[in-house]
Amino acid sequence: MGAVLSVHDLAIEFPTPRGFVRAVDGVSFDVAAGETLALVGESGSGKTLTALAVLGLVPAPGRVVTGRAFFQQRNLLRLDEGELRALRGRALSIVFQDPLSALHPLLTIGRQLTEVIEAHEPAAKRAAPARAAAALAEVGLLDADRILAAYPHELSGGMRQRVLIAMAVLLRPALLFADEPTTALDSALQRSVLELLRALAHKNGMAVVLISHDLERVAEFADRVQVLYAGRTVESARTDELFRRALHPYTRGLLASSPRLDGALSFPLPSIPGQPPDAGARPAGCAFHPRCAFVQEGCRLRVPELAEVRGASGRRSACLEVARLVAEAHA
Amino acid sequence: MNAAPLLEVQDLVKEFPRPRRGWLAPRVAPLRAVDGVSFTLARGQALGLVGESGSGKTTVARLVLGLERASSGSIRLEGRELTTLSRAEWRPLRRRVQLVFQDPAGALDPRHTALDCVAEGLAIQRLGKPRERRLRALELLVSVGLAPRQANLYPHEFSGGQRQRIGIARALALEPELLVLDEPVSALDVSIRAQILNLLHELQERRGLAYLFIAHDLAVVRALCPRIAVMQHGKLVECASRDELFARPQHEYTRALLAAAPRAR
Repeated sequence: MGAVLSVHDLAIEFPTPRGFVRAVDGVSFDVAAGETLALVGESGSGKTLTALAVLGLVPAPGRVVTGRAFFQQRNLLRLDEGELRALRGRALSIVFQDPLSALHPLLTIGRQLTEVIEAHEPAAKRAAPARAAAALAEVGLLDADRILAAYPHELSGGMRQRVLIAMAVLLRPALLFADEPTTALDSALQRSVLELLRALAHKNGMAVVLISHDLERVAEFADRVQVLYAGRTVESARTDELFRRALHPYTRGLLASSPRLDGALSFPLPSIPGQPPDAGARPAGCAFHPRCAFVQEGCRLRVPELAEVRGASGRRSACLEVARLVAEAHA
Repeated sequence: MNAAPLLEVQDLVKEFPRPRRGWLAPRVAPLRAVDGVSFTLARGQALGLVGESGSGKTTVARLVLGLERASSGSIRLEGRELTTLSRAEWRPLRRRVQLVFQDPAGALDPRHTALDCVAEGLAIQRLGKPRERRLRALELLVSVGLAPRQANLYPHEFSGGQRQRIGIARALALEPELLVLDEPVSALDVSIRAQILNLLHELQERRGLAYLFIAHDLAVVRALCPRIAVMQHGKLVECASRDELFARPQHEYTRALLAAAPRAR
């Protein structure tokens, strides 16, 4: 199936006192209809900026310096604000982390939902209340009358996040970004919200880009995973293959260092030493090299390109020492 | 040697009054945030307290720290009743029970260097001369894995994981016997979490600290705590050894929590 969104070589810069800093540096990805892609990375990896760039929402003074983002035969990075506004909320949509700050505190849920419909489809004004109620039912909020009349603070965190998802998918977008959609929620709710997103992707043929710092949490709900580190893609793979064997030392470290319910219980727990670099102070060569267990001299000098891994068909990794990881996995 | 456990909590209740919905409206029953909670914690032991937000686990922590007054029930530190103490009586005890926050950024004064943040507690308790305090603070910063040259940096110059290290050093300054850790790793990047858990484990071994470890993430609690208590709606619904809890969860809610965790692959 063709890609709903095709991002190629995206780069985003921010001015700093020491010159321009590339917060996102050459990120590419595709996502198809009905597919869920997880963009996974830690703070400073550029995952959220990547999504904001596609939506035309990079905060000033940041700016997109290169790249293309094709969506419905148009390069989103070339559209003006008016054209983007017509698409946002309608054809492409986003769910943010904190549902309380994303909802207007003084308007009822019903009003906020019908406003979305009226803004994009003025002709649908009379049908708007019924559609709002149907949208709530779709996200599992069955007590529609009460919720439509409620203000955001009267709902629980889980209900608010469902309302936001209802709002985001109300106009049947072809593409949905979900930026840490469950971080503010409890674990049982996290699972149900991710299940809901996945169900909506399948039912509506919607492409979903799930943005998260927590690989373990989202992996189960994503078809493919793309791991970002310091503004670049370090690995991309089908989820099941990634978990069978990670082919980048950073991904491997992430998987090893996430505490798991069935993990070994001996200390020290496996961990990645050091910390992710600031965008303005990235090490030369591979940005991960100071923390890497596989580091060689060349890693300090050359930035590895994301490339197909020899001996592992269909896998892509940006590591000069990837052959050793492949060999180790076979051993 | 005192035979009483380090911390003994019995039938603890905390109620918060709820506002009426109007001045003519009937009185509303108070909210029972903590509803008859009992547990004990021995010296050097780690007890995990898990539950969703709103389950009352943070209120339990605040009661143990003396930041809230219990509605009823008892909290004993080595046999000494805490719930009836006045502020003045609390003061000397406070150093024995210290808190590590979830958000290290919010817990550190942005105008103080790392060294001052750690030395502050010593100053408040009037321990040692200023020079001794600074030396002690420096030792602590090094013991949590920071470099001596970082002691004079300000909180914003550190990463989240490093700030949490400062928060831990600060909590250790008064040589407490019990650390209350309220979601100490949930705000940290995944690659940093294990580092901090390793540090907490190492400090516990080295110093014989007891931990009351509050978190919603069962996998994190499991790593550090041989005993785990599960809270729901203010009640402690299950308290068992780690092995027992994971092998044979007794309460329906514990089973739901286990089911909601990321699936093993």
